[in-house]
Amino acid sequence: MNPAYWMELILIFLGMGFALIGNLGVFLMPDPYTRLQASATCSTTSVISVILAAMVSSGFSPTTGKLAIILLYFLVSSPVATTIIARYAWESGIVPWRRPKRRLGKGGSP
Amino acid sequence: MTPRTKWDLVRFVSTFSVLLASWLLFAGPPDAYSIAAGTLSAAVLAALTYRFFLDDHEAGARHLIPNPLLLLLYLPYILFRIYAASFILVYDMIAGRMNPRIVHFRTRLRSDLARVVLCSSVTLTPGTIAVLIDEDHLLVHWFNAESGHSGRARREIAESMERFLGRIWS
Repeated sequence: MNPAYWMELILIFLGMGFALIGNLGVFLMPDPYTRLQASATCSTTSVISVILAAMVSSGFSPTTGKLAIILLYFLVSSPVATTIIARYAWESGIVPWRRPKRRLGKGGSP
Repeated sequence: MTPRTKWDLVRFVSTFSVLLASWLLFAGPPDAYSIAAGTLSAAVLAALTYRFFLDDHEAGARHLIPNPLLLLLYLPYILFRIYAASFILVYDMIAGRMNPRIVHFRTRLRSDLARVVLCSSVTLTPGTIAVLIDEDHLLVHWFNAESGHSGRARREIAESMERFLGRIWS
């Protein structure tokens, strides 16, 4: 097999893995901010991986240029959407989840 | 011609040229009709939106025009940062190591455009989300925070990107 094929395969599987973990994170995380961390950032990586895989697969052609422009627009638009969601959560007064402080002994003062 | 009119004209022309360039990029093989339609719609859109495209106070040319070579180098750099950080984030999520904190710090960047790109880069990097940006003040949600100290957070999250961006839009 040629290296481009393996590169493509690795990138596609990376994209699948990141998408899976991002979507699992939405269900497992405790509050909106951490859910946003899991979903938005992991799916960003997965979309970038899939677009890169498509670029590797199409070789040196006009399609690669179009995919590069799509990637560029995605890199501009995706963080803006994420920041808007986070900003809305912040301004509607949702308090971020914190890891609870460890107590000193049983029944001691916190 | 007053300086105000001249500056308005510069804003209009730069908005128009950016719009026309992106039209020509996406319209495919150019023919007479496509170029005429593109020019007309770019002129109308530029007349409507030049006030937002270039802000009134943002008059420094070095704040708007990037260093093109470094801007091209920034793309692979940020892709590398995204991949490195997302592997760390996935490992942290699976291992259950999470300590989310809200940290805030101030950037040293002067240009509005560079600040926006810094905010986007912080959000793109998995593990950190820029919640608010107000002039030079950033509020960042950090997934696995090592400390709540502002200077330390800036060093860990933004300093290398900031140095890069400071050279692109000096």
